[in-house]
Amino acid sequence: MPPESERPDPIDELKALTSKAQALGGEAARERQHKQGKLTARERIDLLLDPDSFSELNLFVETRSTDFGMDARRSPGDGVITGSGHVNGQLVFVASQDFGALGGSLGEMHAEKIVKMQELAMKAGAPIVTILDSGGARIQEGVLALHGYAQIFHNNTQASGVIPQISIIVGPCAGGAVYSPAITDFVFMVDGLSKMFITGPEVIKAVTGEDVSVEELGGGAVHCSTSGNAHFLATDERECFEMVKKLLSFLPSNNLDDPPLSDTPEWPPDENPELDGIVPAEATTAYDVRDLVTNVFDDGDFLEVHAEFAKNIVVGFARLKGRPVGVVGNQPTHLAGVLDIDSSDKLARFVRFCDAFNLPLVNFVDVPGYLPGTQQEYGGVIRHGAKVLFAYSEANVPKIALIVRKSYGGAYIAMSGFGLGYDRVLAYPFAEIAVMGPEGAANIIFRREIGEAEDPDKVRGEKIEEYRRLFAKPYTAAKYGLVDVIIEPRHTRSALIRALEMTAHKREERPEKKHGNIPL
Amino acid sequence: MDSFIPGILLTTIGMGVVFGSLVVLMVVILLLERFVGSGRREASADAVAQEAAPESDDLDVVLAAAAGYFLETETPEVYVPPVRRNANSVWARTARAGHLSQRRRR
Repeated sequence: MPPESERPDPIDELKALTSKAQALGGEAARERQHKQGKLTARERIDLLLDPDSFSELNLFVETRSTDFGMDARRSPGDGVITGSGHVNGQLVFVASQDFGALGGSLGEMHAEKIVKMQELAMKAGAPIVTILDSGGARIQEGVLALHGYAQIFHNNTQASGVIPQISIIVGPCAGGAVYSPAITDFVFMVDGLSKMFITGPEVIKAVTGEDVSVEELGGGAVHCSTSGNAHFLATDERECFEMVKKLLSFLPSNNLDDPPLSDTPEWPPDENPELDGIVPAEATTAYDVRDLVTNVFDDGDFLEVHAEFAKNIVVGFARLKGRPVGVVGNQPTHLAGVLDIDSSDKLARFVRFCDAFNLPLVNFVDVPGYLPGTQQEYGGVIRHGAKVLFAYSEANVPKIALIVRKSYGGAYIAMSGFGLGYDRVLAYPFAEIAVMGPEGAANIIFRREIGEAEDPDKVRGEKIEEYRRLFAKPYTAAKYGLVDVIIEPRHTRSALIRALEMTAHKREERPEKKHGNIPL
Repeated sequence: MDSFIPGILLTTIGMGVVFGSLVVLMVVILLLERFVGSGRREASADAVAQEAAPESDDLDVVLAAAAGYFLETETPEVYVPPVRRNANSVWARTARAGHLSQRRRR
């Protein structure tokens, strides 16, 4: 043992080791990241968290593997930074993979760090944000890497519905690694930077002969618009982290806490005349439901989720008198706002998230029904459509529906049917509530009269008008108590605020069970 | 054969007129460029030089921001309103209640 005078000062030693460990892959790795237009793992954490709020976990952890030369390639932190910090004052737990250190590959200890962070987050009841930039499983560590992934997926599943989980893809995320983001609640991608796929273009070429580029296969634009695997697409990393902060501002920290409140803004007014001119009374004329949403909710501020995927339904977060709500609206500008396979999946998942985290649901209903066709039927639209019914029936947060224009058939049941457990159903005076549209209904009910008439077109027109007179108004439904209140569009905000206040503290018991069996 | 030679003559004269006109046009353009174009080039170069001269640092910033906005290289601001979270966390209260009930059972 060296004499005391020759031993290094423990404080200096700590500083030196910390500094070395915090450098991860070092200056060269940092430059490589920057050359690729990417930030380093630590820069990303700095962008996400409030200044000086980060507490790092297990900075000195290294791989235990010695196979295939790993003993010479050890990197402090083992390619991932984990810890906790604050986002706008809210405690969050973070893992950020560092591509500069061992390619961000996931080995035994890398996984251990993430698992430990997940377990701490679940104890603390705080959201998890995982920043993924990894080459995948560390092949040198074999089955231990796979075991690590399994533990992470297991914890993702345990945490689902307990704490919000957000994944940010800012580099490659391939193979088994994709399943962690897929289990989490929201996936953010950056255009031109993020890549996510199970098998890469080379394997696809070898197996199927199909030629596809990395971007076409697993780029952010593809996953946000075509596959629906990602929810938000940012133009760059900075915008991405700002969007994450915005999303967190709507969410409670866990499934027991209330969502955060904000002050009631001056705009829009409770009586907003601009709303009178947005929805055309003619059922076949399209309008953008987002114009309605931004004129009703606080500050016109609406964070749309899955904006480019299944555009026939719009879902997202907004605030009503300072209180966050989940907003759902059929989009008449896209496929006339029908429900189909993709929009059903999008809607059901959103409803279940809101239900898990105590966010009331407000529906703007203008839906002609489910999309007909063999493609939809063969694709299982029955099963997918049933998810929407299941999700709404299962949800026991306040559920408020506003029938804006038409609400037909099974889609009426799903999005505004009292029988499904809606707490309040409102309607505009020009709302149409029926099993199907007047044209279709008249053709079926009066088939014989129309067929036997001397002038079938004239009789058809009369019968359509007769059906429309009876059902193309909300008063028949109101007579049966299936619509609570009929309002002028300009009073939408005040009516929704009252409906929300009335139902804010609702309690609804459910029979005890392990879990339901949603038609997946 | 009677009309062949006049045909050839006519074609030759026609093509000659066209090529002749093009050569004249080329000469006219070259002359115009020499006498008029050089003056204009000098003038525009002066104008560019004057425009490029920065009047202040602020102007550069404004121009860069505007260019960034139109080229979509600048990150748009994402609005996040200030929010209040309940300090009396239900999570914490429920956890405490759970711990107590577990102790009672022992």
